[in-house]
Amino acid sequence: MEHPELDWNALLWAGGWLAAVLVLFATGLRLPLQTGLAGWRGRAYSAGVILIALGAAVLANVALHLHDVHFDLTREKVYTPSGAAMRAIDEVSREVTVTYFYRSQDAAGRRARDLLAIMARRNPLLKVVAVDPDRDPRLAREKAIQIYNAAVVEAEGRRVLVQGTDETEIAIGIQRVLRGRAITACFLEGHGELPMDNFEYHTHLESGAGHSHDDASSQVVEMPGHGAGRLRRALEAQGYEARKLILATEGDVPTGCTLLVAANPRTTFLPAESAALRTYLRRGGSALLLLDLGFVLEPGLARLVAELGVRPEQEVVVDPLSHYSTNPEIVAVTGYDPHPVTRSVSLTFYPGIRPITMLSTAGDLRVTPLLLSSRDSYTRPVKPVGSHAVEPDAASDKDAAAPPVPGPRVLGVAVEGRLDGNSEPMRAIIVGDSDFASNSFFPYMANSDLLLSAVRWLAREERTAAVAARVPVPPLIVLTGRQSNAVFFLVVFAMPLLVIALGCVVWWRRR
Amino acid sequence: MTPFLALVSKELRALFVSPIAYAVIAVFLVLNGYGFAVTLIATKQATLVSVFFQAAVQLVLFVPLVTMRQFAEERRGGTLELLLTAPVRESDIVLAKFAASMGMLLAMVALTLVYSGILARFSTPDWGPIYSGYLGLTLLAGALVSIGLAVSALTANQVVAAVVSLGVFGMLWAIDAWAALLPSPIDNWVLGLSLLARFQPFALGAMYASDFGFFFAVTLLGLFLAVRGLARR
Repeated sequence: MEHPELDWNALLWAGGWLAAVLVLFATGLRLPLQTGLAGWRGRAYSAGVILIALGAAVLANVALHLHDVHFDLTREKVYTPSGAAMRAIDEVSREVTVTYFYRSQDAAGRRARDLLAIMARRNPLLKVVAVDPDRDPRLAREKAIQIYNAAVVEAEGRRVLVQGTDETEIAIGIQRVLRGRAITACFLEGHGELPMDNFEYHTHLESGAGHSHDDASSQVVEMPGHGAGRLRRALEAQGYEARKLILATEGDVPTGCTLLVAANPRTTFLPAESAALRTYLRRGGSALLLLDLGFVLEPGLARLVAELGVRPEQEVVVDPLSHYSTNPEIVAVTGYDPHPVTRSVSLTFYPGIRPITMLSTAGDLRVTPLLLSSRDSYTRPVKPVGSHAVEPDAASDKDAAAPPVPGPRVLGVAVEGRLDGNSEPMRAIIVGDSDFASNSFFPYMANSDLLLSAVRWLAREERTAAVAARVPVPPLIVLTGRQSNAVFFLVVFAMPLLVIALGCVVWWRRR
Repeated sequence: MTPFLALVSKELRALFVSPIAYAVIAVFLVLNGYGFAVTLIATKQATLVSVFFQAAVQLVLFVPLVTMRQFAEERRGGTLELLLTAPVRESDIVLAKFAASMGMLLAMVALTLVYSGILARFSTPDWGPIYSGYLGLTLLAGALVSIGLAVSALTANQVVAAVVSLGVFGMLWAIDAWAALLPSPIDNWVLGLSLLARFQPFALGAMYASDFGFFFAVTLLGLFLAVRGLARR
């Protein structure tokens, strides 16, 4: 981990300060105590001298504070914030308040609290309030916080929530809340996508009601009662803005769109829309494409996605080994390869997900599988949304009786790089499911973590280097019962009694 | 022996022949020893952080007992005039009393080095926070003693000196709680006066030059005010 270097200039300043203060003190001691002045003149002289001394002390402290030096004497440098975090704090130019909620018993939380205090001392514009919600539930209620190790960063009426104990993440949150430009997630609409202003959801009680998110849903054009309102709310809580975008009427992706979200399009794109999406990505845009079962890609869009190095298949993944609840078509993912998006994500699940085939790409594009099903998973074909198929799909003609070949399937990928030599670096995340992002599944397990992390990465707000959590763990000391008793007796009884005995001896001799 | 050293020797004798010193040290050791032993046995962690915080609170409580009599008793007993007519500077008198009080308090704190020895005997402690913790206690003791001497120099009554010192120390210790209620930038200024906020980094092993400077400046200011207090003859 990168740490700030010791500031030798500030150290020299502190040495000079010490010498100057001692000289001032010695000079002050030489001032006459009695001036021979009578009455108010004498009192005014004394008061003046004292006021000057107080002023000198205040100024000396201010001078040293302006050139402060921090020494971390711990063996593992656990109280030294990362260089990146300190640089971010140095750049703070307007007042920011960080309210950090932690458990007093949690060493990682305590360390984060101490590091935040160090960061606050670095810049007076940063105010830090540390709260144990168990002791002060009022503030937790006020800030609508229900988790430990969460930092609410507020500035100029904006608010960003950062979860975790990593000071670098919190510093990024501070940068985000102070950022001049807004980060806008544009939710694509016009193809039956999950509406961003719909907050309805299903409870998904196991029953024979017929409501489904797996293969049975693949031929449905519209899924009533579903929306992405919870995702939108979560993004707004992170300080992002959200707006709708209907490409067919706009004709182009507006420059204000930091990232594009296509959550469960059901009807096929127009060629012009696919072209607009390509232009946007060539401009260096970012896209989150959640392409659910049955959705048929318009040829132009299929070409674009193929250039991104993937092909969503018209199949559904069945995972008898790793699934949520009792349905093997609700694939659960418990482990991830290293990537900024999945760094701190635990179990996620995908009701009815299509596999993604990795294709070769142009030289500059990096395609990383983000989500993989288990080694026992297999696929079976599904039908596209019939009335909207624009071209026959080879997958749907597969022999359904063919024995399934088990093996891990790619469920989602992250793509980074330039589409061609003349374009700007873009980012895209493509997942073969959108239900996990809908109101019905967004809050469960780590689905929301994955989506928020994906959006952060697409907005280029992720941390570039992984920072290992460094929790101060004092060396352990193991004592036997006998040793414990001996220590207790020595420090609680023997030492004080020895002092009292010495006092008695002195008193006796004096007497 | 120089007049200053003679004065220090006299003040040390005066402190260590009174039962107050032994009572204060014994109580300090009982409280800290109990805290150390219980924390050690319960957490099994080779650290003195909790001991440093306990010791700091106890310094806030006990320093007034040490400094209250330094000038107040001499003023009440009439010996201060004799001292001031002796061929020594007022600053020497104040510095001698400061050195003696610090000697007693450092001896008291030094006895807790036994705890470090216990940690070293049974474990491999992180020495950095232990060094900085003791440095912090020394600086805190210096600041408290100098303020206590200044208060004692202004009154002829020991009890008044002790109560006023305790009030000032208590206010400076807990002033950070008030800072949270104040608007910016006043909250930062008030927080800068908090002894607890200034001491905490030393106890954890993460020091600042500004904290060192604060304690140092307060110590010198207290000594200066104590010298000026002697002008009230």
